[in-house]
Amino acid sequence: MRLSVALFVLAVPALAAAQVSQVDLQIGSANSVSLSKEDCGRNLTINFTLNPALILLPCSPFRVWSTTSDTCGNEPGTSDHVFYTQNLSTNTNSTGSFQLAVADLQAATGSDAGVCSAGEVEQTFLLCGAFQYETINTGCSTSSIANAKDTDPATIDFDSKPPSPPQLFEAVGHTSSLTVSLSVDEDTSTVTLTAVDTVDGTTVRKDAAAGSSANIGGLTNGHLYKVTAVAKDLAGNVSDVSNEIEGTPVEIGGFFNRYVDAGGNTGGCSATGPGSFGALALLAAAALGFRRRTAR
Amino acid sequence: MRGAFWVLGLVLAFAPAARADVIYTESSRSGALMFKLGMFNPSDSIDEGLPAKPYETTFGDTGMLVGEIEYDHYFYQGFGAVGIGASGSYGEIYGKGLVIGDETATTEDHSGLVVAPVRLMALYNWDYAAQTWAIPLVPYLRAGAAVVPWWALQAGNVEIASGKRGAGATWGWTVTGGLMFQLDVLDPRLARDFDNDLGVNHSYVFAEYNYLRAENFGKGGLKFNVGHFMFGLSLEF
Repeated sequence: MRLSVALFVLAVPALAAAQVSQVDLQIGSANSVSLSKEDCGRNLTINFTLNPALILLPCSPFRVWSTTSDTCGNEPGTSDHVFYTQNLSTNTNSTGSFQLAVADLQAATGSDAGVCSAGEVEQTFLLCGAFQYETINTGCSTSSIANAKDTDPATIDFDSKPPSPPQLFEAVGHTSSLTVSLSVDEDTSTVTLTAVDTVDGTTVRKDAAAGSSANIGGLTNGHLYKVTAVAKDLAGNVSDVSNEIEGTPVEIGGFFNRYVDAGGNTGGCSATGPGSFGALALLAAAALGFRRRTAR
Repeated sequence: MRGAFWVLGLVLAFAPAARADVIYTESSRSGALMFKLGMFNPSDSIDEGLPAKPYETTFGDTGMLVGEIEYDHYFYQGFGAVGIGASGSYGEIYGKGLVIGDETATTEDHSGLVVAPVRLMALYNWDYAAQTWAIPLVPYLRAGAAVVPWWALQAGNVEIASGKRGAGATWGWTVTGGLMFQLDVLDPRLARDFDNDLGVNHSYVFAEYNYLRAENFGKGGLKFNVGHFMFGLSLEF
């Protein structure tokens, strides 16, 4: 008796932990994907898995739809777009797939314009899948119908909206480089700086992570540079060009420059002379040699 | 003067107690490790004869914190301990850089100077009183050769000025005098356990004055003629 109680106590949490979503949708093999306008010609392969173990009688077709809501309901809303419908029978094959055209994603709630023809769109879609069933055969009477849906819906991030152009404030000169202070919007992931040499017309470009400053090197000291930047988001959308600022790389010196300029003696052979380090090595060798002699 | 009597009184008060506890056989000693900290300020010697005072202009009239580890090896123990010691230390200091050719311009770029003095010294610790009468004070002397590898940094790289690389090594000599206080008297039993378990015969705190004269024996180069105090912990084993 005690043993059966113990087994029951152990089994209940185990069964609860073993419960899985009765519908599982994947985009390829992933649960999320980021798309931009360049993906408009693509089809996404949507793989689904149904768990028919408890299905005695299907009461509705299995449907897959996209929604811009925060959650998936038990059935598509009036503004949601249904991509796939499959009638089910008892113990329907539990896996399948279909193609979803990116261009068929609807730009906004209630809109029939696809994301690819709707101008700038920055939208997250949930990919929902659900069906109704019953475990006791009552002819799908309302009282015994249960809902099966994907409890961890896949997400599609579609972004065709470029970030705002960076705002450049100041370009501070260093040796062969400029440090540009700037601000970017939160959609920006990288910034591309362009520095044009006003003396010889050469152009230097540098990609930098989004932040409050960025450094561009490989410049000529003493030359005035005109600096602009564009911002790029994760989907690859590129902003308009920023405002233009100017900066001049300058040769920066430190203590040693001051020392040399002041007429300080660098000592000829004392400056990195291999002789100095050779003598240092001799000193260390002498110490080691003495250590060994005394150890014997 | 009264303060000196108090110190002497305390030392003598500890001495009999410590002597009474020394009934175990101490393990043999071969040397010591010393861990030191102090401020090292080469500003006067580097700026000597240079009206523009490059060190002071860059770093101010402040020294750099240096840490040092010294290994001593004894080859005579009798009326004190005689041996050789080798040490390595490290210190760095940072200040603001300058725009070359425009002294009025300012920059936030940092400039640094790093030194790593190395010393090889003969040493004498007068620990006869500590070993014989358990008086916990050990005066000591060290003297020897020293070399100060140094490098100047700009934007994280060794600085170049007029085609010269800002790195080198300056040779010289060094003398050190100090006084160690033997910590064993504070807890003789713990000191014995330290010896029995780890082979550390004695531990000390110390203060020393170190004089370094490194100027490549008159051949030029960055000069490091510095006198400074160091403080630390010594473990004798």
